[in-house]
Amino acid sequence: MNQEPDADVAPAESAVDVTLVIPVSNPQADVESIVMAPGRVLEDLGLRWEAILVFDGIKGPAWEYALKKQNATHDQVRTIGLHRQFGAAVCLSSAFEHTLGSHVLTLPDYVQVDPDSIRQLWDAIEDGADMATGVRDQRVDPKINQWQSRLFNSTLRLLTRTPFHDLNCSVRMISATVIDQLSIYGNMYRYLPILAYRRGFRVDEVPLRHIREEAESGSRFPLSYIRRTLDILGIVFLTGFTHKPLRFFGALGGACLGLGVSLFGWALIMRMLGSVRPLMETPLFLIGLVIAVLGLQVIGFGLVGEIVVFTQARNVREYRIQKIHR
Amino acid sequence: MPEGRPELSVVLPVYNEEESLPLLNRELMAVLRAMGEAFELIYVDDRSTDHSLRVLLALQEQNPEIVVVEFPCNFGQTPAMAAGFEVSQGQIILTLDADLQNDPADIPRLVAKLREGADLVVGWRRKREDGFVLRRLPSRVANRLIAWVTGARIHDTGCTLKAYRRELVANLPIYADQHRFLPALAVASGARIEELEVHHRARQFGSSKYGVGRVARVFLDLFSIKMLATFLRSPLMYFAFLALPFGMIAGVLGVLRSLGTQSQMASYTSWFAVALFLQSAAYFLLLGLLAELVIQVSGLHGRRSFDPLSSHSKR
Repeated sequence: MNQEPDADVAPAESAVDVTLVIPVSNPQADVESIVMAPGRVLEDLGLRWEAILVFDGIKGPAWEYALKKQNATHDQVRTIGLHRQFGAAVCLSSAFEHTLGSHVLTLPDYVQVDPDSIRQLWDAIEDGADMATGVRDQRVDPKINQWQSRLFNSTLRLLTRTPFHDLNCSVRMISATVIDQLSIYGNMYRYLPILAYRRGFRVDEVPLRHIREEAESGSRFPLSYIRRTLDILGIVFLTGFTHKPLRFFGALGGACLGLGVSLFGWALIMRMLGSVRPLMETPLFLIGLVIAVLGLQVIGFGLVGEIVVFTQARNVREYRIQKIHR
Repeated sequence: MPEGRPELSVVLPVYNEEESLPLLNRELMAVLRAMGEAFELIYVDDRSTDHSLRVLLALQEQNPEIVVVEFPCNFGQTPAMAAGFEVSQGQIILTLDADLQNDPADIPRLVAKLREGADLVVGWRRKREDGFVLRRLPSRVANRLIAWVTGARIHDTGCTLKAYRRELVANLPIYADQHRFLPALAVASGARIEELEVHHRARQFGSSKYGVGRVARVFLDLFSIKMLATFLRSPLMYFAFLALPFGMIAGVLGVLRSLGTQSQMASYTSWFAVALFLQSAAYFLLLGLLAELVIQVSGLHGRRSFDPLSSHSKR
């Protein structure tokens, strides 16, 4: 995470209000409608905007069109071409290095929500939010997807104690300060609202009218489930235990140790109460032993985690100053 | 604004103390002004749910020495202190609770003690005015345990009233509930620590923000602090030390197995146990190597954190 003191320093007046950031993974993407429609809405609002299209290792008609567009608009619309497919997260972070706007609007490479509803995102920002994240309203994707999505989001709400209803909606208006302050890597862009919320930023949810849904590239049935489950595990761990990993591993290891020792003890008691089998021949003895040793190993693992945090303590500040009144 | 850099910085984490604040501020101002040195008073409002922030800002209008730090959400006591340290400018930094239980009148004595030649002066609430079962007993047990495990002979680690030399604060990582263990870390890095008896007053307003549910966490934290404080210089040694019992058990089991006569089934079991313990011993040794690696790449080896008072310390 970024270490810069943020506090009450107003960001320098930038020439651009909103930078659209759009990762493109479909070579046939309709650049005109994904860029210009939101652009016009922003102009209506009296905002100066630019757009960065990041092509995720693909070329094709969309790329050609975008290049033409870049020339025609004198770099108001810019392009970044990745030399191979890295995924949406890398697209976003490479675009974030080049954004000029005081806010960033992330969009998918198709018209997912009604462009007009961008007004509501901006309203939330005007109202003082640091980030406005979209919630697809009147969803048009299959019911089964909606159920999965609901389950996923409610699990995360429960486990991370955050209020978000649609983390899969990538339409978000984010203040540049938030991006500067949070380190985003891997799959974490999806969980940006959670991370921002936990850092004390104001994150508003805004219902946006859903128009179309396209499956993410590379999300196939069993794989996507495994990935989501791992995501949940990772985000829960990171939100709760970033600074004290031993509390997590210690509790887990302690539970294992306790279970192992009690199995072991049970075997011992059975033996003393006159079981004919020798202690060494009872399966409980072995199982208990293995679980207890595993518990100790987990605790040792947590100790290494503590060392990592201690040595990096300056990079993982756990607070953010809103304002200093002198 | 007083001219120049303040010499003393007083840091107070504030959480829902609207009733105590005016009185506390009056006492603090009287004590600090009487000392005749440039000072600043840093209140860190940990997003109180009452009107603490408003009270603080009102106080600030009358007293230019006050700095109010505002948090966007409730981060906790240690982060509030860390933020106060970050903002502070004085050569000597004092911390105290905003609930009036610490007596500001103790401040000059702490500062004098620090100037006599210490890097950290820790307050010791010898006569505590708290409930015995809920506060004093757990605290006494925790303090004994901390003193015993870390080797920092401090009677009262939970006392917020402390005086720090700036160099010490700048170099000790302060995160999680670490402030309780700062003396232990400071001792481990060679700082000179003094203890001073301070007054402790009964709570007048509001309620205590602690509970007894933190025992397990304190215990785990203690475990990690012990490791960090004593073995960070040579983690491989520490982990080898952890690996030792496993290796020994494996050895003993192996010998017993070779001597005794057992059924075939029991024989398998005991060989399996030997293998399991050997594996664990190897595992802990490897963890030790990993820890060495982490410290090596962090660039802390033999520097800053271990040596808070070294001449090239970062200010």
